[in-house]
Amino acid sequence: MLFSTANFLGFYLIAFAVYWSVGRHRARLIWLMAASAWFYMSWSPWFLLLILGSTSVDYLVALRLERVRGSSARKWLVALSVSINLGVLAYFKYVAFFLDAARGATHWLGWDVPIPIAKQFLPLGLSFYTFEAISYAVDVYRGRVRAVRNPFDYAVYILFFPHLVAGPIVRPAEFLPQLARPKRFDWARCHAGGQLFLCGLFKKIVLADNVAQCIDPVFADPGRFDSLTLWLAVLGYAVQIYGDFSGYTDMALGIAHTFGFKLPNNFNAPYLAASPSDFWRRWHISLSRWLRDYLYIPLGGNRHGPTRTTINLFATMVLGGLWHGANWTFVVWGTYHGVLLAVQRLIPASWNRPMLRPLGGLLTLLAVCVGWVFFRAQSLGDVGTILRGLVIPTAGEGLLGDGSAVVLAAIIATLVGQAIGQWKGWPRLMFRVPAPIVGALVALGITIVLLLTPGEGKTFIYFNF
Amino acid sequence: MCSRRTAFTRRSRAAVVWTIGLFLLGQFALGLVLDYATPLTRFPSARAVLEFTAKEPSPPAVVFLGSSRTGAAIHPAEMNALLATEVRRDPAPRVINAAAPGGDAISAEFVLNRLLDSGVKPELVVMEVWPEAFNARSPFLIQHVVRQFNWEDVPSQAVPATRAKAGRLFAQARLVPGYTHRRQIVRDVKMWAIELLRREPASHRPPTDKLAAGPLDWDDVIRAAAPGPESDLTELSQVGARETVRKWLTPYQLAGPATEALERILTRCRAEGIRVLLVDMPACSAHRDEYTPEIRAQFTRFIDRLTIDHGCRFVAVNDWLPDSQYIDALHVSHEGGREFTRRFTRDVVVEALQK
Repeated sequence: MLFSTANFLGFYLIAFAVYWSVGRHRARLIWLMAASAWFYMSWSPWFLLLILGSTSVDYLVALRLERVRGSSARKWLVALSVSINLGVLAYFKYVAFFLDAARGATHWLGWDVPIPIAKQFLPLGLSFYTFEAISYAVDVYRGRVRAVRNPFDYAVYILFFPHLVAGPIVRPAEFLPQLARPKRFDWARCHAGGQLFLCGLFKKIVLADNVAQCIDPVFADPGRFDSLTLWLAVLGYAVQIYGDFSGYTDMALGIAHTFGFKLPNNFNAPYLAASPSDFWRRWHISLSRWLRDYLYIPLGGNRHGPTRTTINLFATMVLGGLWHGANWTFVVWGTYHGVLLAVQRLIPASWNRPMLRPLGGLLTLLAVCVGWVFFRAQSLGDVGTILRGLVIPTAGEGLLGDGSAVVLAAIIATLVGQAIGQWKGWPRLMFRVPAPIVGALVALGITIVLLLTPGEGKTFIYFNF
Repeated sequence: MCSRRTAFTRRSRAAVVWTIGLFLLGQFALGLVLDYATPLTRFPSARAVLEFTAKEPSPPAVVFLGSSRTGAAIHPAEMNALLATEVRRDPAPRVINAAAPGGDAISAEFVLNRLLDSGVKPELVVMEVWPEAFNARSPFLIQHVVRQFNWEDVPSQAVPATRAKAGRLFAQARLVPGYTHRRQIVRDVKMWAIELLRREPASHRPPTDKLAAGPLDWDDVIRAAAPGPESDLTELSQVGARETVRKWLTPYQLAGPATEALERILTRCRAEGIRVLLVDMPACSAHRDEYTPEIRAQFTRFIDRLTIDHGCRFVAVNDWLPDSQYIDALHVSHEGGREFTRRFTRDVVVEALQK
């Protein structure tokens, strides 16, 4: 059930109506858990068994962690939780990839080793809820959060449907206290949630899906197209992935708001970043924070000198790339960003002047867009074709129909939208505008989204991770 | 602080109510515009036919009405060339293929009424008739729900549409027309913007239906839809007959809005002095085999009554082509269409025009 479908609208209206009709807070949480389970099962009923099975280990480990005193035993318990979670993730997500890689390597070495072929089958949202489960066990181990006693509360934390399948990756300290607070229906939250949802719908349907229709043929067969078209497709993909993922996040945050929950923001105008490290403070913020707190810092962070810091950064980015998918293109993408961060560390601090920031921003945007080529291309061969076409002027076909105009308009709308979104005066301005005008503007926004919905909706890109 | 929060809450509630109200009102207003001010936006294939006809130097002598089966079977250019030699008249009679994808008597009535109201009066109307099109649970209601039905059709068509599994689409088309007709609306807005910028009418508004309908487009459509040379056409048509035709005929009861539309067509044509030929277009053997004796009996009784009551003629031609001339259970191939057109022109149209 995608957020942008009529089926989801029907599900949401029922879930919302029953949630706020029920008087007691506990009953509401149980209803929310049941609705979330139903939402997840709409993809496959078996997924629910997997998620409950794998995350119940963390629930039990956390309870045990609070009773056990010895540091060695506590370390073993948290290692058990992390191993099981990563093991499930590795099995479903990476087994086929590693077997393929092993097969390729043995073939290259001329060894005749029978390596089985595995078919990849990725349960929806596995990468996201696995990281949430790991952060729960680790935070209980570190004493940052108390273990949840009530299994329904833990189930709501993991299963809460707005963030279940594609994040944001929510920390237990951000969400669990909200479960303890009884909720009261609030029109202001509903209104804000609705506007956020509409904003996300616009980004996903009007920007991302329309751009995707125009540029998909380019990535399917990049050798056919000229350099200008390749540049348009690369920039267009930057818009598509932003619109798709941040649009999904906005919808998730908006829906959560209407149920009285606040989820962490996941994007902060990433294409206005002034440097690669600034980009990662603005893009998929919940993942960046997770990697920083549970991978980069435990590896040593920046506490052991510049060389070790660079190695830690590199490792974090490579594994972060691999998290996105079991394909060499993602590994290369993560490595590429590791290189960008390493190169940034070499730039003298004296270069960080206000006059040079626009140049830094432009170079960062360019570097990030080129990085998306690795992310989107179907193979390393296609990556080479596209990069060659970007650098060496090449003749070929252009985008069909008014595809170029659509992509250009989407690029401009994205950059302008991000710039406008940085203005802090929005809430005060919206409070001053009379309610009928706000209503008219929002109604117009909904109408525009409906009118510009492309013929075929695309699934969310990050559902594949 | 408390009063400010209360004011904020009241204001938010008002904004939500205004949003819902204005959105529904806007969709209703848009629906009225689409229904009454620009009805052809919803039916772009009909608009293409009317625009094409308006540009013709003289009114057509023959108008073909029906579904994509008629679209595929009748080649106007071929027919025009034959009529120019077979019928001694100046100017030579011309035909237009005004068939619509998923068309039946209901869409035919829509197109014919607009043609007649615009002053285009043919000598002869050839109307496709086949049992499926007059089933009470018509498979074509889903097209009319999107293309033609207005609010005034809701009382009479809501139940038949629901029975034909088009109820949800009907509700969507009435309540959120901006979403249902979005592609046509966006295309129309683009064309108007181009006209405004160029300060001249758009030379041709390409229809947005995939089975684009103007008299000249069926050829491209059939060529594109034809299976590869290695395909077993007989098997394809048999599979199609089982999966599609049988579904459309089960259960079968000859009744419903299409029968009433055909009666109105015949009544108006008679009043305007226009002759009507009812024709069951070519059907492959697997398709014809799906007509049980009960279906044939109902259909024959219906047609016989029409010919008596309205003075029209029925021509049975559905077995004129071999199975090798079909690309699926319903549509003839390009060559099949040419062959049928030649024979139909010589054996039926010429005789009808010379009477």
